[in-house]
Amino acid sequence: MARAPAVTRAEVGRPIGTAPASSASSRPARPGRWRRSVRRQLLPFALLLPALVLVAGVLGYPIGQLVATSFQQLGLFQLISHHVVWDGLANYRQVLSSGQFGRSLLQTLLFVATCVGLTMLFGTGVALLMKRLGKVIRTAMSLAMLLAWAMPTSASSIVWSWLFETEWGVVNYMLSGLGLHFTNHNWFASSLSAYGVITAMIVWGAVPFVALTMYSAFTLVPPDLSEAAAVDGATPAVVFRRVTMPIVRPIFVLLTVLSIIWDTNVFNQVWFLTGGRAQVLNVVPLGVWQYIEAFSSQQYGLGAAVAVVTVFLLLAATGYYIRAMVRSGEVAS
Amino acid sequence: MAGTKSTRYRRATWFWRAVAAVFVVIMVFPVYWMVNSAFEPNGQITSLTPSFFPVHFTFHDFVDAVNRPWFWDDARNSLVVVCSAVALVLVVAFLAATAVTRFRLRGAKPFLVLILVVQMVPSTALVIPLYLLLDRYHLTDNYLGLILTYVSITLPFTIWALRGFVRAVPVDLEEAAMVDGASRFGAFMRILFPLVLPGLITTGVFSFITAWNDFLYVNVIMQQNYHQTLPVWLFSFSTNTGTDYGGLMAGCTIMSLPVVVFFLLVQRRIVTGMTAGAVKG
Amino acid sequence: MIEGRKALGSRGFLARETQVKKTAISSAAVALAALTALSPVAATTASAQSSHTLTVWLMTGEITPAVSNQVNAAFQKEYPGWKVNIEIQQWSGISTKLIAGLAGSNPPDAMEMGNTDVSEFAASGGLENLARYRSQLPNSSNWLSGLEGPAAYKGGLYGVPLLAGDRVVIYNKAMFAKAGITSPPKTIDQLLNDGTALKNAFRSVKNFSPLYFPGEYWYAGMPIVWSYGGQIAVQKGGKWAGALSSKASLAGLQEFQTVQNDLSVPASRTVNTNAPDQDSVFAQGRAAMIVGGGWELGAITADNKKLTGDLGTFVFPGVTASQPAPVFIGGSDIGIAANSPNKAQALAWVKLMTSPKYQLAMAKVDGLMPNAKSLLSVGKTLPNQADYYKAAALSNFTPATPGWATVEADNVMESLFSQVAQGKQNVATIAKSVDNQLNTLLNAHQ
Repeated sequence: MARAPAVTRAEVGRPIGTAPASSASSRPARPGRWRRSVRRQLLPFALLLPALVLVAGVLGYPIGQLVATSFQQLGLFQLISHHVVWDGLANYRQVLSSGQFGRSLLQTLLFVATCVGLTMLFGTGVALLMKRLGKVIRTAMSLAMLLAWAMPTSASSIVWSWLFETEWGVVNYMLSGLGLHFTNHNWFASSLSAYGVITAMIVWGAVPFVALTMYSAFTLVPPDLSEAAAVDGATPAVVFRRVTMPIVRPIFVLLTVLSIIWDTNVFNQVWFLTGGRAQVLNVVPLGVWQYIEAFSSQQYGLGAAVAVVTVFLLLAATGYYIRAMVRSGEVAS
Repeated sequence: MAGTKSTRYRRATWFWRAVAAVFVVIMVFPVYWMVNSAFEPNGQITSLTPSFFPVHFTFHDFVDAVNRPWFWDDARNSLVVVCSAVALVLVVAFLAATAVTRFRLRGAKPFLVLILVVQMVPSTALVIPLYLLLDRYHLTDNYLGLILTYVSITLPFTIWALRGFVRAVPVDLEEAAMVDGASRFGAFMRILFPLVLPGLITTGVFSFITAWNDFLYVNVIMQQNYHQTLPVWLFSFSTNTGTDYGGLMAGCTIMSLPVVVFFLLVQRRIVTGMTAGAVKG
Repeated sequence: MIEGRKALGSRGFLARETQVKKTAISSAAVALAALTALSPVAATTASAQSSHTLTVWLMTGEITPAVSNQVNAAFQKEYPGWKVNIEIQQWSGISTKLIAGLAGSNPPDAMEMGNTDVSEFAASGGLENLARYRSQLPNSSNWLSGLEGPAAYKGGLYGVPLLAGDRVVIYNKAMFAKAGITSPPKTIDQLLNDGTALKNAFRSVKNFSPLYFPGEYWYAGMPIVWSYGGQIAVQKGGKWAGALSSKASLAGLQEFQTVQNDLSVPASRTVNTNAPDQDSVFAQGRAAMIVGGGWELGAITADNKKLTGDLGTFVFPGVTASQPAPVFIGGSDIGIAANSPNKAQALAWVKLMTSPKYQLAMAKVDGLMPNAKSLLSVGKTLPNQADYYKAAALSNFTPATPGWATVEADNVMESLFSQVAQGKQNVATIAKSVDNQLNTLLNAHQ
């Protein structure tokens, strides 16, 4: 994989991939170099600026508000009349001491681990399958996945609740047809079973995105590279581990981290599929709890505190990989 | 020896084809069920014995759906808003991904971490503050406000994903172009851009679907009925007095069509991108 | 706007991806230019709204343009040069939208709210207190209490009753005849007896319910509790206290359990009316009765046209034949935003909409029940509506406190009735724990 050039040209700026890893080396030593370094920063900064302005301009204020809200006592009255009542850490104290927090955290951990594990497993597997098979089947698979992906959550939630309906659901119908005792089986009778259906639906909905992204990542692997390795006698497994994986790993890790983030905040599917009865069924992952506190109980401060705590938990869970991903810019290619 | 190997390979291929077929069926089944219900009269949807084909075939729900008030307005708005947002997000994200990948830029790493943290905040918690922000700048009930919202919520993922794609393209290709006299920026556009095309398309599909199906933001930000987009129209099948499921499913089917068309348009590009990838190295 | 569409819509970014002739900067410039082209739309909308346009939010599927256009025309006679902009809202996400709208700088002038949501907003400071205009409002002395109660908060009036809806028993006349039942039941005991007769007559129908009664259907369950003299909660010295474990309420809950378990299939104990849709259960002949609103008659005949002549209604019977069970009144109120610059005009529009003339038009054209007792006699002239209007005369409603919104959002009542229907614990234990929940929730946000 000796593809990255070892030479850095001043005209190109300094490609990160070839620069020494230590940041100290880029620190200017003399005024002349400092000026050059500022000039060198101009083009990349200009390239980054639109993104920076958009994210900071559109999302900066709402997120700042959310954090501020988490330290306030904010009900509907305060929200509509723009009345600020600072409340210190009271919301956080209430969140962390609530019995629901522990339950929601545990449910979220198990739920997210299962969803993300299954999504990444199936997603990568399907992408490999697409690579292995011919164009016709590949197109059929992409199209099938796209159809599933394109289905609005409101529609897919309704259809999934139909499929698992007690009296006339197709799943019960087919399982009974196979001779199993599933006539009038209620899939939403227990928390675990409800979670099972929700997990199935989330994985079904998430696999297309992961599989299609992984597939386009696989297209980045130059075919001659793996052919060369194969000619050298490497087994497919070795080729995958040694040649393919290093190239696609950053995208794989990114997809895993994003899946963890999205599945932790999952709300729509749970809310729709349980028909708004998440609490009755004891299906309350953190994303749903946040909504219940904020909107149902009109305690927006408390809801914001749940959201902030969730962000910190997510940072703790994914921090290692985020660091690895940020750093991987220095070693890859 | 070679013969047995290829026979085994062929047998394995048939096995994997079967696996792929099962996968396709599982993926498509809920979608098929949606379309099937759209062609069935409402009463049939909940009958005790499910019918796997629309036996009592009717177009009624489709005719009813497109004749609902504001369908054409909302469809037009959806296309305008979503296409603009996708175009804008891809341009901005490509530039940003190049900036953080091809240069040693101060603050790039905190920026990357920051936009990932932005993704961690549940969107239900952001809707009202975002509305109040747009309201301050008179951007509510305004396409620009909605487009900017969609751009900024899909931007973090797009930048991160494109960063992975850009990084996988060797730098020496751009350098070669620059030796041939191209400017640095020209090298990015002429060499890098086509090579990361598969990545752009996949992330473009992501942004398209995210914005296309959004209800949460559009419902709050847009006010006039003829300024809304299709997901809002879709909810008009649910009234206080019950839900017209057949109509809803027909509506969803209609709404899925542009996504499929969009995909079919870009499908060939993904393959082209793959062969383009073969050029390098 | 058309210009903006041209610039944006056709500029598919895909078309140019193969040969990248334009630089990213120039295409970004095109996109930005196109976006700026859209801004005038916002400017005109904003200025139009602040000067001579009255914005009214109405909920989807209720008052149609056939009626609202008449009201607008009458309004424009009072305020020549004013435009009325009716914006139809979806039920999904309505609470978020109302909050954002009321907290923003450009709220709708008047907005419809469900009567179970209005108490939440009454205390929010976002709605104008209309108490001093009360005497000017048409029919204010005999509004339906189920609509007026939730809009009253601490002596103020934050909404005007707009429209009502209630539920009675819908039954299949042919099935009743086949089971040998000649007249609808007058008491709950008779209802149970008729149920047995129906069960015997339709033994062969798979999953048959004489009265299909979803366990979470508290809008239908609560009338039984009320009929026994029970209450959800009572107000004592300014504080609310759950009253579901009172002797009368317990008797009612027990009776609900009997009715539900005897007359409805076991699978219905944990569900609500939407999944499975009770109208299709009825339309497919798997039930001889359901408790449903006037709008459901149409849904049933749409599912199964053969039933058109066979549908009958009767008010849900009570403990004694002399008095049917009090019904739960649903419906909407209409409020005026405290921040609205057009409060006088909004009030004028609301006065017209809630006046007898347009209330009766609404009843006849849109099939919606008017907001006052004095207007209920119109029901006699409307096909299939007589029993609905009759039932509305004896109606009840939920505790009028902002905390009720949390009770609704947390599905406390659905859960209560479903648990009673399932009968895993004894009714007193369930009721006691729900009372404890109500004691906390109802006294919050006061």
